[in-house]
Amino acid sequence: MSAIASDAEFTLRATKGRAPNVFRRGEWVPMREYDENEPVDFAIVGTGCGGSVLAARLAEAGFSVVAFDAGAFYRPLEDFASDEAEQEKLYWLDERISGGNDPLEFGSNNSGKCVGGTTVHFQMVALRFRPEWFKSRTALGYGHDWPVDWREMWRYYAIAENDMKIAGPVRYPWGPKRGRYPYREHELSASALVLARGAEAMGVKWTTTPTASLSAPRGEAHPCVNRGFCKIGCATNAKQSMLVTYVPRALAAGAEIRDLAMVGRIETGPDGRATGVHYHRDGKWRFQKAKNVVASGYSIETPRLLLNSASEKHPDGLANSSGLVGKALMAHTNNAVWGIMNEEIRWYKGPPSLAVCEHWNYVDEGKDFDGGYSFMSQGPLPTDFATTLVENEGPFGADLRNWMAHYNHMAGLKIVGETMPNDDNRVELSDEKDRLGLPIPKVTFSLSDNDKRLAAHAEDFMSRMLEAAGGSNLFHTASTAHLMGGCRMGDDPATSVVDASGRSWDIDNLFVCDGSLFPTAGGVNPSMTIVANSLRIADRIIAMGKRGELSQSAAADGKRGA
Amino acid sequence: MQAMAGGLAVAAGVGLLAAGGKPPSRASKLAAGGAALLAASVVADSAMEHYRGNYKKPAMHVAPIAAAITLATAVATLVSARGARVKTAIFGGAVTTGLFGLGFHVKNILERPGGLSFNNLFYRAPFGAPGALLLAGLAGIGAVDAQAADTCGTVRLRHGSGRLLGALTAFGLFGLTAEIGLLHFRGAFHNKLMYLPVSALPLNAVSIAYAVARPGCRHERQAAGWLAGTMGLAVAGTGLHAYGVSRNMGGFSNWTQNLFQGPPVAAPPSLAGIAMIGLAALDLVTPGSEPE
Ligand SMILES: Cc1cc2nc3c(=O)[nH]c(=O)nc-3n(C[C@H](O)[C@H](O)[C@H](O)COP(=O)(O)OP(=O)(O)OC[C@H]3O[C@@H](n4cnc5c(N)ncnc54)[C@H](O)[C@@H]3O)c2cc1C
Ligand code: SF4
Repeated sequence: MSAIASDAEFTLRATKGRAPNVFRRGEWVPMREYDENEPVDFAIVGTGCGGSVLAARLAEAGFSVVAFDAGAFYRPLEDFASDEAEQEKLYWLDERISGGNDPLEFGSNNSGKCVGGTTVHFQMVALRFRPEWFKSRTALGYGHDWPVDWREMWRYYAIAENDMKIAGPVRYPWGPKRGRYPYREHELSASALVLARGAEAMGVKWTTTPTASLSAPRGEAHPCVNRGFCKIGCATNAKQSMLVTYVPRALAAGAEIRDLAMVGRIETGPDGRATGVHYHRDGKWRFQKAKNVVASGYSIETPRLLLNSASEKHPDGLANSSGLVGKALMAHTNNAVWGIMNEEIRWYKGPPSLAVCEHWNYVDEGKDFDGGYSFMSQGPLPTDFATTLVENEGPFGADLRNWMAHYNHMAGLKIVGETMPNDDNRVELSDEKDRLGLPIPKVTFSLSDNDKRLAAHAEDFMSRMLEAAGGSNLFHTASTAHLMGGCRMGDDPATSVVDASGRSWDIDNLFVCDGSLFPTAGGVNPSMTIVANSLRIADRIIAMGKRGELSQSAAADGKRGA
Repeated sequence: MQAMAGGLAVAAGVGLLAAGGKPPSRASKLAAGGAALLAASVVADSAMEHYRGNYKKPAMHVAPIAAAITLATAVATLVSARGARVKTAIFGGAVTTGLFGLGFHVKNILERPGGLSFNNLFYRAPFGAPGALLLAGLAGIGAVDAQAADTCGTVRLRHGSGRLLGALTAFGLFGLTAEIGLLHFRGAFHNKLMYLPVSALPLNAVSIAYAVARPGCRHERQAAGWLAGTMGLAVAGTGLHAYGVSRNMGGFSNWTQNLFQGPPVAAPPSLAGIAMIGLAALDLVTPGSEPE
């Protein structure tokens, strides 16, 4: 039973010419609506870092846009509770079959289901890739090159950071110079200070984490009050998720958002080109005609959708002539070291990861593995931490209570560790069907020896650091977080699913724009890279439109078909 | 308890030091008023901030108490010219407390990871609060001194006293510029009005320094204009900070949390305090302003 009265999961909210105003309780903003039988310029599947950014930018450029999301359209101020169980409503909990040597656990740690996507419950760490990672094959000898230059990405990171008013340090200690973050860093929490002390003792650099949480007011969004509930949805709107940034922008620019709308299939015509999307909303299957279709459902749902849209012309699924759709799925390793501190930490206070060390992302000497990792200070909420304890150490009953009695004195360091792109780690369709009759995805994931060496290196380094900071009774846990890859972008149709513009090599009016484009995972949390990449793709699509290179010449700049 | 002790100290102090005695000169009143405003702002700020810090160290009681005593003495100086020596001694105590406070706050910053980092400068023990107590003490001493100069009445003494108060004003304005600059930078100058004090105060400082350096040069009017502007900033700033508080989650209906969340409503009034010290300085150096 829901602790909070919210009808968002059952009742359409973005309908009848209006959508929720995310900044006010019970209020609405006007929303433009499009006819299902009139092809819109763009039908976008998903409203996360890929979909909402693209929807906003394309609508602002004058294209007609409808963006679909399988999840609900929340107003954080009234719909989010300070209750871990209640907030599970933000996770993608539809059934998935998980296999391989290290099966991924789905839900809280990797995918969200609501308008705004996974960022509504992400942890707000807002890092950039190390420049060399965009050419990891040529520059560092592993993985695949990205089809983009780091300087171009650097420009788009700056735009993304400004759009999300990232609160970051005045000087970032690693990598090439970057402009000043739009908002100033947050006050360090006690758990962040543990990382800082440890880093100073070990002689490595540390800094305040660039964080997607407001350190000063912004419009109607309140500044952060250090409630610490970020990972289950921020009820003050301080967290700059897609729901309170690009989604309102998309609506204001004339895009339509359809909530509780699960897209099951992309339709292709006799010429093999996309004609629209079949989606399930309000109890029945419907069809929206579109001149272009964009898949932005993230690393499991985007491949699932493309594979499930197989047709006579595309028997192996859409955009799949390379056979790579669903392949080279990556996660980040999330190994952690925890310890008990003498002093009171109360790590639930404030955004959970306020200090970061990227030392092992930027230093290549002294490593017995490819790739890199960053690690951050931690602040898990009680249920989250108890779950971690039980899953890894197995205490139960009185034993678990004893452990949890240390909760206010605990500190931890956890990595975001790069895993290698491996074609055997993949998304496929199973024979089982979900409640809508769609094939349930089957996900296979195994860590490589390199991934394991990286994790071992990190655990050793972080243990010494936590000890140096005064931690005792250390213990380790292992898990994974985030998803990347599954529809790699690249320069060669034989080794990638889409080109540098996110356009599929096989179907010129089918695009992919989300985290599944990543050729490599990098040792940092992915959102800022997804947002920056989506902004870049949006500009490329707009430029194509101006050159008349888009399908049936979708309305270019300012010429929206009324 | 803190509030009660403070209240008692103020009442007793005002009673003792203000009973009888003739009313002070205009310059002395202005300077004493400035000292009182500054001290009041420190009382409010340090009581709140040290309360938030749970009065973890016994030394944290010192600041609000010292500020309350300074406030009481300043109010007494405002209404009566009596007890000059005791008052000077008490204001001297405020100066010493302010200096020690600055030292403690520097130590607090340097001892933390990151040392002299922006994070520590933004969020750790601020320089502004002990700095304001220091200024309040100095202004109090200046008020007593101005009274002496006005009583004696020689131009040389009055100009000397005016120069001291003018220098103090300029020093205070530069100090405030630095502090406001740092804290508004912390707020990313998210509202363009946040640039106003950091651009206006240094100009005001220059104009007052110039006016007292060369008394009778008719720059007094300009300086007085700037000071009036600074007063205006104090009023507008207080209003804007209150608006800032209202933009936090829950606004004023959640005032017990949001007053701490900031921006500090008690901070901008100290601008008016400094401006009053400046007006006292001008009074002393302006020809024809001698008391009858
Ligand atoms: C607990 C947690 C913490 C995280 N912390 C961080 C962090 O600190 N920093 C960071 O950078 N990243 C973090 N991430 C990762 C980050 O949130 C994701 O990588 C990012 O949001 C992915 O963006 P996306 O657009 O690719 O997909 P999503 O944001 O997942 O968006 C996909 C959207 O598509 C919808 N959808 C999918 N399929 C369909 C369909 N068929 N029809 C209709 N709608 C569909 C989904 O409902 C969803 O809303 C975190 C993730 C989690 C789970
Ligand atoms: S700590 Fe800040 S960002 Fe996190 S939930 Fe609270 S207000 Fe939101």
